[in-house]
Formats: sequence, C-alpha cells, structure tokens
Amino acid sequence: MDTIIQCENITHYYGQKMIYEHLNFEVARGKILGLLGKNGTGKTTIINILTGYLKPRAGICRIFGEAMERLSPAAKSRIGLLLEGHVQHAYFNIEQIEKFYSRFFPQWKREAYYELLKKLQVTPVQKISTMSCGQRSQVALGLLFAQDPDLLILDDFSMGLDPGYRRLFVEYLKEYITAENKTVFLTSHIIQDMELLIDDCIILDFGRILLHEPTSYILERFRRFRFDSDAPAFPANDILRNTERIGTHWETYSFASAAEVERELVKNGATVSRLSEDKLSLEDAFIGLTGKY
Amino acid sequence: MYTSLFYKEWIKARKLLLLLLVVFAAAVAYTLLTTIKQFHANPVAFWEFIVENNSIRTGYMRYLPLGAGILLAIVQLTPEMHNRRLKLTLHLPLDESKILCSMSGFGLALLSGLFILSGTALLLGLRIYFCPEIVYSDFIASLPWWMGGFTAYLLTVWICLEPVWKQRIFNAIPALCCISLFYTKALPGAYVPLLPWLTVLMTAGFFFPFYSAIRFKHGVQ
Amino acid sequence: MKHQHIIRIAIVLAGTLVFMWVVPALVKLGASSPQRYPFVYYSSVIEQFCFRETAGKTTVRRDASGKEYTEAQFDSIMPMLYYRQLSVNGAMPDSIQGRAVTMPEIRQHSFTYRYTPVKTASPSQGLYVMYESMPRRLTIESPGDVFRMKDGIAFVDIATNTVNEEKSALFAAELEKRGYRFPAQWSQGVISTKKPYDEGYFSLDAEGKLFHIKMVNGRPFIRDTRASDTVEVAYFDMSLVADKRFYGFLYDTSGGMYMVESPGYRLIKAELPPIDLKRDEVMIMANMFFWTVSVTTPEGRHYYALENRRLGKVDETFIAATPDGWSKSAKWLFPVYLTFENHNSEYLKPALTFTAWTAWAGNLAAAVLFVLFARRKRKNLLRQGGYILIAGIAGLIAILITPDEN
Repeated sequence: MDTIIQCENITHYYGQKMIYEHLNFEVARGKILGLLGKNGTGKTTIINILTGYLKPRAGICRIFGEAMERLSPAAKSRIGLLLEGHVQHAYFNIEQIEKFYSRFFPQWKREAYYELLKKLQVTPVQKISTMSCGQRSQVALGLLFAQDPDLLILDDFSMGLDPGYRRLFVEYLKEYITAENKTVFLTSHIIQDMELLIDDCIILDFGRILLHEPTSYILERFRRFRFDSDAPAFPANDILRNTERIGTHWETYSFASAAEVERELVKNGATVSRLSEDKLSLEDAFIGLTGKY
Repeated sequence: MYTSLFYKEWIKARKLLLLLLVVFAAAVAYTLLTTIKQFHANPVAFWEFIVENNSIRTGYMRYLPLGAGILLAIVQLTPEMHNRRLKLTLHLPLDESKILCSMSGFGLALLSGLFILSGTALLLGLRIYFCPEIVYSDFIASLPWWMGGFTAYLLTVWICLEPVWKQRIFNAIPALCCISLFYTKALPGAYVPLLPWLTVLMTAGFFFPFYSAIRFKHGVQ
Repeated sequence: MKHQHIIRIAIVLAGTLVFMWVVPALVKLGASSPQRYPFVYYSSVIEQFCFRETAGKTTVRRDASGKEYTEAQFDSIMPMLYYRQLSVNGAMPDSIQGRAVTMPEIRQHSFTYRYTPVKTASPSQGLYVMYESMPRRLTIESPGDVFRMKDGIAFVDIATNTVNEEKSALFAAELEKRGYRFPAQWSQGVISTKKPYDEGYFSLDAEGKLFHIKMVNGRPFIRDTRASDTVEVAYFDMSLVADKRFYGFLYDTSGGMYMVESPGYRLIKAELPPIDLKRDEVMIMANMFFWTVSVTTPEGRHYYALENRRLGKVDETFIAATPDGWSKSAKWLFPVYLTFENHNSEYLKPALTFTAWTAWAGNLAAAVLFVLFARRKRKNLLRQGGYILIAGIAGLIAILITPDEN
C-alpha cells in the first residue's frame, strides 16, 4: 500500500494554546479522507501544515515522501489545492486564469475545465471577482480537474455554497475521483456532503485525533442507544460515549453491540430498561462522538 | 512558466501602468514645455541663471518614481495577500524563490522601462536647448530619485508580503528612513559620493521580501 | 526558500545603520544649539580686541581688559566700523593712527571676506561665463556664451547650443602659448553680472600652476601667476574689493593663506596658523589699518589682528566652544553615529563619527535591558545581546523590530 500523506508527531500551539500534541496519521493512495472536527479543532491548521504554509512547533508531514516545507515543484504539480472559500486569483477572467495555469502543468486538460464551466451562466471574459461564490467554486473545481493532480487537498469545499452548488460540487468530485483513482484529503463543516464522498474519516477533538476509521465502519458499527434508567450518572469510557439524559430517558453512543452496552451500563449496579438501538448518519455519528458542545 | 507568471503580474499591473505612462508623459511634457518657454523668453539669462545657481529643470519628476514604485508594489501584492492567495502562487510547480524573483523582477523591469523611457525623453529634449554639462546636471540630480523609485518598490514589496500587520509597521519605519535618503535636498552632483551606497541599499532591498515570504510560509500570525 | 538567516542579518544590519543615523539625528535636533560667539573687532583706536555680546535683552560691550563701554563709547573706539554713525553724530575723528581719514577712504579700503569649507566641497557643473573685463560701459554684460574648461577650453553659444569654434580656438591658442596644461584641475571666479568689476578666473592647470584667465577687449588675457614657484596651490578664492588691491586669497596645501596682490600677483602671507580648508571657517573684517581675522575650528574661535600692510600679526585671542546638549548626551548614548550631511560640505557622504568611550555605557545598558526583558520571548539571547553591546541603541531598535527566525 502506497502512503501518500504521512504526518508524524505533529505538535502545534498558537501562543500558549495547544492545538495538537503528537498527531499521527497516514493517508493511503486512492483513499478519500475526510477531516472532521468542530470549529477550532484545527482542521484548516492541518491543511496549512500539510501544504507547507504553517510550520508546526514539532513533527513532520510528508507528501509523496517529501517534507511539507520543501515540496519539490514536481510534487507540487501532483497536488491540487483548494483553499478555504474557493479562493482563486480573482483579477483574472475565466479564460485568463485557464491560460495562466495551463503553462505550469504539462498534462493540463483544458477541456475538463471548459466542460465544467459550460453550465455556468458566465461569459468567458467575466472577472472571477464578479462571480457568485457558487460560480467561483466551479471555476476552482474546473481548474483542479484540468490540473489532474494525484492528490487533492480541499479545505472546506462546502463553505459559502448553497445546497445546489454543494451537491453539484460533490457529484462532480465523486465522479472524478472514483474514475481516476485519486487520493483526496478534505475538510468540510457540512458532514452530509462528506458522507457521500469519503472512504476514511478522521475526527479531531481538541488537541488530538478522536477517531481514524473507514466511514463504512463508523456507519455500520457506531450506534445510538436509548434507554431508561434511574441512575444519576454513567461513567464515560471507550464503550460508552457521550452518555447524557435527554428529558426522561438516556442516550449513549457506542461501537459496541447492544449486549455489550447493556453489560457496561449495569456494571455499576444501575438499572436499565427499554434499551433500543439506532443506525446513524455520519453527522449524527459525529455528534455522538464529539458531543453537541 | 515564467511567461505565465509575468502574464499574471501584467493582468494585475496593466491599468496602473497605463496611468503611470500618462502621468510620466505629462510630467515630461510639462517640464520640457516650461523649460522651452523660459528659454525662449531670454536664452542668455536662463543659461546664466543655471550656470550661476547650478539649478535643475527636472524637479517636477522628483517624487514620481517614488509614487510609481510604491503603487506598483501595492497593485502587485495586495491581491496576493488578500485571502492569502499567495498560497496559490507559491504552490505553483516552480521553485518558490524563482516565483518571488520573477514577481519582483517583473515590477523592476516595468519600472525600468518607465523610468528609462521618460528619463531619456526628458534628457534628450533638454539636450536640444542645453549643452551636455547642464543635461548631465539634470541627470545626476534626478538619478537618486529614480533609484529611490526602485528601492521604494522593493521595500513596499517587503512590507506587503509581511503577514503580520504590526510587523508591517515595524518594517515601514526603517523603510521610510531609507527612502528619505534618496530625496534629500541637494545640489546636482552632491549625491555622487553616496550613489554606490544607495546602490548597495537598493540591491539589499531585493532580498528583504524573501524574509517576509519565509514568515508567510511559516504561517506566522 | 533558503538563506533566511543571512537575510535576517542583512535586515538587522541595514536597520542598525538606519537607526545609527536617525536616532542621533533626532537627539541632535532636540538637544543641539548653535555655537554662539560674541562680535569681536580689533579697535584701531585703543588697539585691542573689543567684544559685544548679547545675552537675552542685555548687551555687554567691553574691551580685552574687561572694561565696559556704553553704546556711544563703543562706537567711538571703533570708528572704522561705525564711521557713518559717528559722522551723523559729528563725533568722527579727523585722524586715526596719526593719519587723516575721510569716509570715502575708509569705505574704499574696508572689506569683508569669508571662507567656509563648503566652498571647496561643492559639486560644480564645470561651466563658466567669460565676461569682458574692460567693458565700454560700467555695467558687466553677458557675453551670450558659456565656456567649459576641463580637457580643453570651449565656448558654447547659448542661442544655437553649439561650440563657438573660433573663440574657443583663440583662447586655446593663448592658453597653450602661456604654458597652460590641460586637463584643468579647477577654475575659480565670480559668475554674476551684478559684481562691481570683472577679473575673470584663476585656474589651476594640470601641473599645479595657477593662471589668471580673463577677456580684455574681446581678446584672451592669460598670465601665469607664478604662485606655484613658491607655494603648492590648494585653493584660490576670488574677492572683488573696492580698492582692487588684490585678486583674492590663495591657500597652499599646508594651510598657509596668502593675499594675491593686484597687479603683479605678488603673494603676501598672512601671519596665521595653518588653516584646514576642510574644517575651518575664515572671516576677515578689514579696514585700512587692521584686519580682524576669525578662524573658527571645532574647538573654538581664534581671533587674530593683522596690520593692513604686511599682514603681520599684532594680537590674538581665543574663545573656546561650549559643549551643547547634543555633545553632552552623545558621549553617553552613541559611541558611533552615522551622518550623511555635513555642514562643511555640499556633498552627501556617509560618515561614521566616534564620540567617546563613555558611550559604551549606553550600549551596555541597552544590552542588559534587552537580555532582562526579552529573555522569555527571544532566541539566541546572548548573541543578540552581544550585538547590542557593539551596535548600541541602534542595534537594539533594529533587533526589536526584526522578528526572530521561526
């Protein structure tokens, strides 16, 4: 298995505030990895570190085996970068920006770009700065398709997009990456979008990785359990996650089976009744793992 | 790839360049016309006044190179710093130093073209009415101003590329002092002993933006 | 991107140089005050230096012995200066120094002359105007051309902006005949139509010979002054005086000052200590009996009284310069400072000035403060502190405003 992205022992602080300590993860070739986390857990920070725009206090990331700070031009040409907010050189118009980027990439696929833009209600000489956020997202995506990189790094691709464009973006992306065996590293704050897309999922908590598992594993195994109990509290551990009382009944989340959960709940002498289990969407799973607050 | 980088800078700077061309042409024309008018009013008195007072005629051009340098740097760099688009630029598959060099190289080339064009037009125009000594006087008196334009450009790039606002102000303080060195009131030729040092300063200024860029790369906030 | 370290060093060095210039300049702006000297004139009546000093609203007039005078008394002991006032009051003596004097005579033989180092440190265009020295009318008229004098002499006609070959050849031939060797080192004269009369130019040729060059009746008049037979000429300063007794003052390379007599170019050496043309200011207030010569040096102002005929010294005095706020503070704050402008020169040139060893105390204080206050925030504390110890306040500011490397 080829490793495309490798992060070792990343530790970073903003001033005195710890963002992560000893973060480790890898992304294998062909995987679509989604980075999930609440606001402020450092999703963009990871992207910045990965792309060499932030020097962590300690640790190293490698992309295609090259240290992130000194990526060679060859490595950079294999990485497609989508900045938060679909930022592009907005002083160009549609034609100019294509002309600009095309010279840098020998494999440039001009038609891929124009194919995507055909559907946009824009003229070829319209400046990008005058376009809507959705239109700009299509330009940015089109440029990525034309570049045809082996690795796509997408920072919060859903930001500022209305549901239509979001769906459009996801559909195009999905089709593209599955057809071409690309590796993708992405973040989004709209988890619904990710569910359709990602193979693997990293969930970040403050200061650490909470979970790094295949999405299918999470969707299959991670369940919400509802039950009634008169116990005042339940201990938090690897089996019981985010156990809390909602009105008259209790909720807890777990990767364990119903039997294991029940065993765990009654271990401390509590009485538990009417235990039920629900399958979860990725978004619900995320909340179940990280809590609502 | 370089042509593409220059193309990007061109798109950003072309409107300003047009404006600068108009302003510089107007200043050259105004200088020449007022000089010609004064000359024709009384050629002998005008020449003798110049010889007696070691006076110059290029005064209208004084701060134009400075303004051109600062504006060009702002026009080139502000779009890069807005939304941190410089990330996209530095992510291009080309050595980062070469990317930065070609950006400031483009600016310097544009300024050189503008300065050489307007300077030559001005001096050739003056040469029709004055002997080489007087034209040289105009040249040597205005040389520091043109050099100041290049230096102001480079130092503004240095300031603009700096990712932290507070640090930009800290950079601006010595930068302003350096620039003022090029615009001290002095007789034509008075700058001659200082010119080599100003050249050193100008050359050193070429490397300053890299420090800001490295800080940008390190994500300093 | 590489070489972060070297670029940071370059930025800190450039910043240090900038602040080595700007910070002392600001302190100087606030703390320096111009050196004030009393008005000093040698009295031909009491044959002593007389002083007039104004402090606030009171003016003290005294002689060298300390005796104080009223304004009227002061006028009367200095008739060569206040002759008009004395004459209005009817108090002008008929004779001074045993010699009958008239007002026109006094005026005729009085002159002032001033040398400042700027005169020999100014850029020149290398263009001059050759006036007619014997004009048909009294006024001096413009010839309608200018001339250059470096590798040869050439007159440029103003109306056509072309060389007047004929006139140039005429002067060139005469210069050649008189032994002038190009390239010229310098030429000195008065370029103005408002001067009382014209004496053309004095020019030092390639061999160090001083020539007098002027135009008389449209023809070149060129003479070797033969000054170089006796002295090594450093500078000539033309001075057009009413009695046309001399052409001006000649300075030799060892600081001697000479009056160049007219006509004949005889050199009369003024009995003065050597004058440093790069540093000293000379002021002469002369009358028919005595010259009051002041030579201002950085240490203070020397006054000499010379008798008018042979320029022999009859008296001298000295007033020391008083240190101002700037020089007092500089010797504690700035061991070395940088300037670009210099009141002794029109040229802009970087110059490092050393003040005093005591100023390293200021550096030490800056370094200690830095190490104490920046120890949590800064890397390479000792190395940076060491730099501040050497580069002082300027180095401290440069380091504080230049961020550390990541």
